[in-house]
Amino acid sequence: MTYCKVSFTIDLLFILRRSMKLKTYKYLKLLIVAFISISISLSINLNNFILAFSSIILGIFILKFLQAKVKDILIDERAKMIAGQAAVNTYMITTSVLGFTSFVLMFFGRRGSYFLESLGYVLSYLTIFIIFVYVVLFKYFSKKYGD
Amino acid sequence: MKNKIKVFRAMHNFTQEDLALKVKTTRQTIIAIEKEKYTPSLELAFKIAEVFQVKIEDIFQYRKENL
Repeated sequence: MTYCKVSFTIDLLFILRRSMKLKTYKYLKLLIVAFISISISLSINLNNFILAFSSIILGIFILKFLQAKVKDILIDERAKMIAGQAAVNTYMITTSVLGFTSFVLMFFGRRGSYFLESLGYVLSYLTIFIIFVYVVLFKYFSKKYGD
Repeated sequence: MKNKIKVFRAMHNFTQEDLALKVKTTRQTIIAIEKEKYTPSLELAFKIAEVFQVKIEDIFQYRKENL
């Protein structure tokens, strides 16, 4: 048992010392995501939010370290284009759903439920904030790429 | 955009992985370009042409979309 533990640690150290392939990176990323998920669920059960926060920070640092070790290309122009399109669609769906929900909550909340009306206001301000961030970033990238 | 990457790869005996490494992109992108599901940027198209030492128009041909 002890031999297995030592052998696993040596293997892990060996992997971390040299450059790694994309497949290895994906396996390790999966392990880190599992570790963070377990830590967060544990921290919720134990009511200890420092544990969740520290595990997320540790996970980000380890991921950044591993990314630097990968010799293959992780993100290329196609991946960036896909991420951009996904982000735009996410923005459109999120703002539409949030805007509609806040309108409905405010409308029905005025008929008696103060809590629902307040929630509607919070959601509408959140929608406005998301639109504001989008407009600022849109202006920034427009200027960067020639406007 | 039509392309002859597969033909040129076969001529130079390159795998998709080899070509991806030479032009600093992923194998998935090379697959997508070969299947004509993704149109590469001008920079990537020039890089691919440079690897095969041919002109860009020898590999990529513009095809008008049917409206």
